[in-house]
Amino acid sequence: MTDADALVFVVDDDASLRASLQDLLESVGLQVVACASAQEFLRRPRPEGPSCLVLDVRLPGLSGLELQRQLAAGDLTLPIIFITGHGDIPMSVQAMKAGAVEFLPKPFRDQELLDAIHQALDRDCYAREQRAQREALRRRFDTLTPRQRDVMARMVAGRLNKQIAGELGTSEATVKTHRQQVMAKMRAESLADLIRIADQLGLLPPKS
Amino acid sequence: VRQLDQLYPHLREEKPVPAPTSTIGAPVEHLDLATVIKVSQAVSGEIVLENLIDTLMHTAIEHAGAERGLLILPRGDELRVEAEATTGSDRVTVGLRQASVTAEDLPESVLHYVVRTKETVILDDASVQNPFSADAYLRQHHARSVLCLPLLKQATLIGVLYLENHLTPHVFTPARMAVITLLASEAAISLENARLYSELTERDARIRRLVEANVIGIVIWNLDGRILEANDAFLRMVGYGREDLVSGRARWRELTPDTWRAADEQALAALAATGICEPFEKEYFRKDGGRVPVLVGAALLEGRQDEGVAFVLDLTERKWAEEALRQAQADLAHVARLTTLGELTASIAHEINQPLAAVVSSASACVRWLAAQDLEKARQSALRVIAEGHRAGEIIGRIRNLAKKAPLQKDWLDLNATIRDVLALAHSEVQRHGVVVETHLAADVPLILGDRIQVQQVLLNLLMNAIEAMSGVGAGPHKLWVSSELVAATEVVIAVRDSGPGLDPQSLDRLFEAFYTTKPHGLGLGLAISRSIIAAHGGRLWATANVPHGAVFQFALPIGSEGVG
Repeated sequence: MTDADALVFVVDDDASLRASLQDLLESVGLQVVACASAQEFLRRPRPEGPSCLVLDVRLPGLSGLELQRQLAAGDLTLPIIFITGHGDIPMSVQAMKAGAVEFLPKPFRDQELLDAIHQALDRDCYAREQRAQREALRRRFDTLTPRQRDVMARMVAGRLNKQIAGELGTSEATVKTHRQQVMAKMRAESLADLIRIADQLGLLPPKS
Repeated sequence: VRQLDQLYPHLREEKPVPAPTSTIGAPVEHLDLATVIKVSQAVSGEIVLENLIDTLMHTAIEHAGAERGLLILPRGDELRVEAEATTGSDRVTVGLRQASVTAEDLPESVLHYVVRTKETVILDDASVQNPFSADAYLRQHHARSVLCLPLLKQATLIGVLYLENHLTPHVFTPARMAVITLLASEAAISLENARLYSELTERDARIRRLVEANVIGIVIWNLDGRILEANDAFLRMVGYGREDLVSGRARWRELTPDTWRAADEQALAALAATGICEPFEKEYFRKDGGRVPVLVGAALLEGRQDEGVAFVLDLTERKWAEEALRQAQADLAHVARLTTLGELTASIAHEINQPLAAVVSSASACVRWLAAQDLEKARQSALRVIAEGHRAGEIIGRIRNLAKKAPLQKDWLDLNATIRDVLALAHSEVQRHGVVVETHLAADVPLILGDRIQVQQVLLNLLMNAIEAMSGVGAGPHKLWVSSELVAATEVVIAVRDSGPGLDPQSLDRLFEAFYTTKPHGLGLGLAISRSIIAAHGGRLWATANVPHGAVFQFALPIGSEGVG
């Protein structure tokens, strides 16, 4: 990843501070999109490359924390760095619990912010890779027939071929064929590999 | 014969009665010149009433040959015995009585006849039958010679002189009557003069009492600037001695500081036009160089265009009390302001951190642009640092202004700018409570003469109240409208509307009372102080309900006559 691909959203209702932050980030070669409100940010298109959000906690209309909640509820996870002029602890705890990268009281050191931004962008990169990987797996999973999915679900649950044949009311040889198809389509090298993939796809029941 | 005897004196007695005035025109030859002069001089020489009465009674008794005499003077509606003269062994005693006339003093029917007809009655022998025989006094006191004559001045009854002799009839002979009549006319004039004189001295005494009581300063002055006379109260006020007055050192024009010359001129103009001037406030220099605030009212002396009298009231204590009250109010307002600022502390910290964060960011950017040798970008960053530095300074200045303990100072105020200032100060607080502010500021609002800090305090107070009121109600749009408007070209109305729960109509009239509060931690002074501040600016502050819900607090400030656009 290079900074040149990265995009930083700055959301603060204070025009001067917005401009200063944009200036600072541009001085280290980051691309910046500055927004005056959460609503304005939501109207902006998502970038292709890695991005993160520098967000003021207190905003007119939709507040920073509410925006964080909305983003988490949707699938638009974007690493968030909170900045605030009222460094109050309960608020920072809430923000961090909800997955914020950093919570910086104003005025902050430039390096603190830049470090946080890089950390956030790294996190976004990783998340994007994860997401890309998951999407690839999902595409493979989509190629499975309903019968193959039934077989895969029982395989990752640790059932033997005989048991699967009994449960599905078919022959052990048929199950064996489905099993080979599943391993090939999912590009799994071993059963353990298949279980990991199933986990990534969220097919496993939650661990107790 | 006896019957004739009885009848005869009666007939004789009748004579003077029907023609009493005949004695007034008594022949001049009856008058003894020396007596006339003596009588005339004695009576007319007296101006003091008591002395006059004494002389009059002595003279009357001596020259009429009476044994007892009464002087009766009308006092209001009543006739009073003013003095009674009696003859002792060889001298006449005059006693001042001042009592109502009773039937024990004299024959009342005779007196009433004289008063009614203004004619003299002479009874040569009252013991014989006469028109007044029925009078109880004449019967009981056995009076013989009786004379009752009116003292007239231009046909007005000044008094009545009553003389009697119990022993001898026919005492009041024509010769004596001539003297008595002359005496009567002299006495009438002198009595009237003495009465006027006594009235005058009485009135003079009343005025003198006012002057000498020294409750207020009193000054007789002339247009040249001289103080002709002054009482001790005035001299004490200005710290001068009587010798300064006599020497002409204390001149009222010089006693007046330049700043009050105009007030003096106005008063003099009023005096020239109407002869009086309404009381007005001014100051005098004291001899020690200090100043004394006074209330002065004056009038020209009757018939004079260059001399007058003035009263001067020392206002030092009242001014001191006013100052103390004003100071107390200012202190209270200051405390209320600090309380509001205390509530705002968190917001204010945010308000300052904002530009500080911008300064740090821009300065960091500047360093980086310099390292990259992008001088134009570096320059822009540096300019931003400067601008943000100023912005932080302005915020601190606003807070310091509001927190400072400044005396009331009226300047030409741009109310719209004042509103924007206060909104900037409360910006974070507004945001913290998720309140959306809308402003409708009229462009034609003229400048107003007022105290910037105090008007800011009122606005801040109303804003904070509105924000707090709305934070009480649940979610939903919390909206605040601030507007300015020129109404009827005479006043500017500033309104702060909120969408809060509104006002309890029952407590509406108590809202502006001191120490009335609906907040758990409120002092209950905000609105009371706000109202007194607006009142001190000649304006009004009131509250009404907003439609569809919430409250509106508005205040109107009058445009000064010298208002500029």
